[in-house]
Amino acid sequence: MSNDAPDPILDRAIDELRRLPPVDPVAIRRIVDAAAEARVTAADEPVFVVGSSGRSIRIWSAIGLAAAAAVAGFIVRGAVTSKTPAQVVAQAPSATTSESLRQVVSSSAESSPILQQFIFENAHAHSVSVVGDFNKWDRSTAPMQRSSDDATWSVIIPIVPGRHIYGYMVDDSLFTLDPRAPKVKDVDLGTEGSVVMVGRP
Amino acid sequence: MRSFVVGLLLAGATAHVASAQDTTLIAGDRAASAELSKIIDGARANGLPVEPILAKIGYAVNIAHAAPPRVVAAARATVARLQEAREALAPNPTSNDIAAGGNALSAKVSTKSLRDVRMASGNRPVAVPLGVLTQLVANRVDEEKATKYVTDLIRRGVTTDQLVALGNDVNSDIVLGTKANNSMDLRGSHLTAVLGVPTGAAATAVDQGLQAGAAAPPPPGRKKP
Repeated sequence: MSNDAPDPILDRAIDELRRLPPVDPVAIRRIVDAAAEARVTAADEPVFVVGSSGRSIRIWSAIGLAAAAAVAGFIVRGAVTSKTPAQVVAQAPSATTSESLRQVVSSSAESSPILQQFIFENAHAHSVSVVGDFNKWDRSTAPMQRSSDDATWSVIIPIVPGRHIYGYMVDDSLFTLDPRAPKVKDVDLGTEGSVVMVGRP
Repeated sequence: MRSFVVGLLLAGATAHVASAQDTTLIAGDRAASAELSKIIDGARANGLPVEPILAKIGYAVNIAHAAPPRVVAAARATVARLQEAREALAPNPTSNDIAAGGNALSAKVSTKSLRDVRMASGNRPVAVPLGVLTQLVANRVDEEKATKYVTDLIRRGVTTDQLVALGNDVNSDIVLGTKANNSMDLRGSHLTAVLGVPTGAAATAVDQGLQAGAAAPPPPGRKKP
């Protein structure tokens, strides 16, 4: 049987369906009027009065503003926290939600660098810098400033919390331990360094 | 001049520059530089933090003035410790945690102690607790005792600054003549009392730790100055 052959029954059904029922203009007018009455305009919104100046804000506008502010807040917070140097990738294993949040916030704070002051006494030095594992023992990154007494050198640098090995480079060539700090011997090379424990002040 | 060149190149390596530039980590020794470059690249590819490796190279070249083969050996040893520390501090240690774990291993702290600290800390950073533990062990406090105190204090909610103060206090005591273990007991038990009794699961864990631990601390044996 060919698909192109006319089907008399089908043609009749289509013909019946094409005949629309007569439209009642009164009914149409009633529907249009009801829709017009139900329309909400700006004047119909509930109003909050804000402040002594009498400035007002409409409730749906307020909700919209609040939603926009929340979205902006999440974006800004994400941008700020993504710049923290230490990444905490662990998940809270089985704590409550509030505990999990507290731990994540606390972890982030615990890993961020802390300003640490170093003080060294040497009246004869021309230059002194702090070198340590925190600056890859590079003497150019943390030069110390001579104080007014000409003998005390100091510098403040950010260091991540924990135990660090360091020393002072005097006149760009003489590595000197900190006489105030404990010493430790390098397990691989046998040479000594000073130890500082960095924590929150 | 040599230090300057090394500093520049280390800075370049930190900034993930091309391997071609890493191959001159030690001026004048292409073979050692290439070997170091391979070690750094391998560690990076393996997901290990490279900062401690670069710091070790910087120390070996600028401070210890070690010969190139010793620099390479030191870098290799550092990578091995970082790898071991990462496994002990699983599942999700931070770069700082791994570096602190590597330092702890270099001070002869065992991987068991690293795991104990991780278990007591949950998902919190362990760089400071491990640093304090490392320093206590370096100061000749028995490792088992030091680990027990540190983990118990963590479970009681000790803060990082309290832990750092504990480590510094023990160090000061030792400098003044107190025996390391006596100072640890004195300072540790005092801080334990200050922090009070933990609750819930933490209390059970602490109780188990105390049962497995040493007897009550004896008075410190401080020498007269």
